[in-house]
Amino acid sequence: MSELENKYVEKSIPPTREERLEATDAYHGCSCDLLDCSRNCCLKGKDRDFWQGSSSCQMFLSIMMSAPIENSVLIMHGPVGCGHQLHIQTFSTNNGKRVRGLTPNPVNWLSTNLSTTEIVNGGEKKLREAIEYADKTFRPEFIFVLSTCAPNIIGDDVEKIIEDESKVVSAQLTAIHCPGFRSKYVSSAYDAFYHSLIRHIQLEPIEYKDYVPLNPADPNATFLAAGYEYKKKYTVNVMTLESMGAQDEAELSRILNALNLNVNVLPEYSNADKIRFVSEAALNVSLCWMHDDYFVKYLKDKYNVPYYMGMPLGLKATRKWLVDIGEHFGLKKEAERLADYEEKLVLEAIAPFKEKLKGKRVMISGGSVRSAVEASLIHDDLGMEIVSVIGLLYDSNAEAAFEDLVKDHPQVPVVVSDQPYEFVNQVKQSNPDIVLCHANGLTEPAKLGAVTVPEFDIGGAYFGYNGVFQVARQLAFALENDSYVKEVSKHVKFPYKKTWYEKDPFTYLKD
Amino acid sequence: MGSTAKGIIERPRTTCAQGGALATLASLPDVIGISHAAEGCSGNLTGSIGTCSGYNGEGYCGGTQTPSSAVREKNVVFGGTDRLRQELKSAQELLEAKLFVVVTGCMTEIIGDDVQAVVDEFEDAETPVIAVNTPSFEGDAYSGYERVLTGIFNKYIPTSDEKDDKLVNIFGVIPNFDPNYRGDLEEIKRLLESVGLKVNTFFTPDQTYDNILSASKASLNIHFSRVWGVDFEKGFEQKHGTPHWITDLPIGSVQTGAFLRELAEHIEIDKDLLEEVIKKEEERYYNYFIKTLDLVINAQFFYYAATVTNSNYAIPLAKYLKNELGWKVDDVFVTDLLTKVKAKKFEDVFSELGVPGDLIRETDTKQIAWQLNKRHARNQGQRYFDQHGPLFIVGSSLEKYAAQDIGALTYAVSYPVVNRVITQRGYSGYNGGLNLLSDLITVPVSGR
Repeated sequence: MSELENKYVEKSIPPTREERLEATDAYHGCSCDLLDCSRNCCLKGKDRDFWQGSSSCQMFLSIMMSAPIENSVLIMHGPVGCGHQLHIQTFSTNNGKRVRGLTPNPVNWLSTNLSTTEIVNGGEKKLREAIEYADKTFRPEFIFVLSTCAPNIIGDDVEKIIEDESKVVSAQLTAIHCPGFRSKYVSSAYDAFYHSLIRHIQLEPIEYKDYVPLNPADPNATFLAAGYEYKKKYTVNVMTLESMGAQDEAELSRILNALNLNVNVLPEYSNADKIRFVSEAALNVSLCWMHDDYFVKYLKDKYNVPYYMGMPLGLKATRKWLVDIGEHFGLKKEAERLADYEEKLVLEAIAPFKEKLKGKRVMISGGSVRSAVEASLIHDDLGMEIVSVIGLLYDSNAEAAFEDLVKDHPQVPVVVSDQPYEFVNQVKQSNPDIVLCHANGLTEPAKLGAVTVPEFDIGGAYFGYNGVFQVARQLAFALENDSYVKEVSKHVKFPYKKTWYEKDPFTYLKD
Repeated sequence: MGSTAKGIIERPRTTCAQGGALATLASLPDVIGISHAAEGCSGNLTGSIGTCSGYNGEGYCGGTQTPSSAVREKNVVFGGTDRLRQELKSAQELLEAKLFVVVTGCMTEIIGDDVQAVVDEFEDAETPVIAVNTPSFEGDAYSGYERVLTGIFNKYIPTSDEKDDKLVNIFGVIPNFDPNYRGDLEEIKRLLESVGLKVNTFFTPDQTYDNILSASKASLNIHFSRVWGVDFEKGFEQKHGTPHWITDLPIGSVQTGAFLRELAEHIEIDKDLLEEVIKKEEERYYNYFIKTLDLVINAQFFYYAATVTNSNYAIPLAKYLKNELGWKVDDVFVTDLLTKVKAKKFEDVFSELGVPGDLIRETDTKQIAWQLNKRHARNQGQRYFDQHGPLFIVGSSLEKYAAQDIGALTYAVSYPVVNRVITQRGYSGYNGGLNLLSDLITVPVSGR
């Protein structure tokens, strides 16, 4: 049976999360209700009477996915504003390159700078010029055209241009269709990005470029072929997240290598040569249920490569992740022994931190999957209490991540919200000892004087056994001295009326 | 426009009109900007506004807290005005402000939402609401600034019959897109107050909403931009009868002295007091300036200079580098997206004032790097070669790579600035001149 019901892949425009899955960005209840609701399709249609533009759009996440790929040029097809985040993304990407031993380079990007004339007459001509200019000037391996809101409203046929221009330019040319208004879920960007790879990027090795075909007359041919097949049989692709830093990549590669598995980390911070080998693996591992399913399901359909999804965050989840992958390769016992050994080491290492953290009340917020899985790390591994679990957005792909949470903490409040005004209200009312926040989203609780720590930070260590240690260390360190937030919070003025803090944080939610 | 290809821009140093508008609104006291666009527009701008001008932060209700109508696909098909109306109603209940300003995004402009009609329904609301159209396809961040000023000062605030002959308004320094705007404005305010004037800067921490309302009473608008907001000033003069004086933001002692003396031609100042102030300021300025003389002259910190900035900083910066630091200014790159008319006007001013260096209008980062490379070519094995170096590029954070390639020193003063943190630091006036001196001279000694 086809995993993705392959219909999406044939379409020029990828589906949004709301089209493909049951999703919401406005929910509050307990963890068990969320799962019921998700399975019985009652999440759709939830909305708010007041919104803050706190979330970015799928275009920004498309930038985040494509900018780290080496030797690529991004063309922002839209008015001049779209893409300005690349000024920031460049230094984050370059940090990522530096720690991975790659050469830091500015991200080359162009704006088609659509003006009123093009809004009226169409922007296709300008896009063609931009593509040819980019190819001629930068000689990239990839050109990503990011199609924003304006061209999607006026109806530029970007896919047609990609097809035509692919014949003219030497780079591999593709388009990420990511108009912000089309989806309220930024996670649609993951699908849009993978869709762009699937449609126009070479995902198979090329003869005489990547390998020399075996000569059947060669007496060693059978051995060589068997050797390659053996290597492939023990090769794992780990799909990267921009939120996963080099430390996490190294940690996960380390424990998989310990099982004698070969690890490829794709597609971010890789290049055309590496991406062509994505189809040459025995297993695709996605680290987040909400991140890569579009791609790994496609690879299953097309190349019959199985996939495994799971987030190795906390001891329990890491053990499951390791043992499941081990089992796939017939290495279950070895994986269990490795997990036993690693757990013993890390438990010894975190013991002094646990003393300091014990019983502290933690509000966990950030990505839904991460927050749900993190609950076990916070509660089981570090002995802390969970105040609530807040995900920025939710779709039914995340069900698997919530199963354990429902089992262990059925009554814990679960919120799906990316709205600062709701967040501020919740933090003020429940007054946690520590607030965990999505990277770059720490501002509001800190302004309230709460000890605020990133749930993850690009470049930090969170996954695997090293992750458990580093999270414990980071939390204990944050509790050492809170005078920065305490002092500054006395002087912060929030824009909300006093009455707001007496109201229910979900006053503006509606079904 | 860029020389890249017709109208295409490589790595533009600006955002959309809504970006400029939201940046301006986030810095105005007790004013909240409300985005009528997709949720992502203001969300994305959080970074570009809050980060790219020396980490300015989100402010009172900007950044991720910006209220947004968060229009979806269904609104793009059926119209987004209902959503905006609901948002404004909720904002009235929830938010503490003296004025709401709705700014639009591309999608709501293309579909033609009648934002003005929605705003008119809130005529009697607790917090007044106005609307400003800011589609990005009509202009960039700088035009967003102009549009917001026009909306608030020329359309909204009431006129005033009485004028305060000591009160001046300062305009033209663009929040965030002149990354040092706060420090620059504070220094100008300090100087004007020292000669007995009262000053509305609007964007510094000491300002309140009353300053916005009292703008109509001013006897003079000082406008520190040759191209941005000039039409706004004409409108202001028409509505409020306040004359305007367009000049450059003075950097350093020479320019500031000239600025203050010229100011006396536009507004009544006690001449004796003026000269006394200038004398005192200059004494202090050179007392500190001379402290660096030993270093500068012994280490021969004199450079060939290239500036890569917006049009606001281009002229005063080049003059400061030449006249006070004694550098040889070769290239003055101006990175704004200018219309032909604006470009012509700027070029005329540039040559009239005798600004040092060749004026090069270029929006594309790679083109700037290539031009710098060509104009400051390195010795390629010639026995005798007059290299125009050592070169110092005073530009934005984007010049880092060009500087690496050429082997030049670099320091960022123009948007985007991401490699240093700006709190209250400014480069205008006497204090600013000293700040810039120490910042620039710190670059060659920082490796010691």
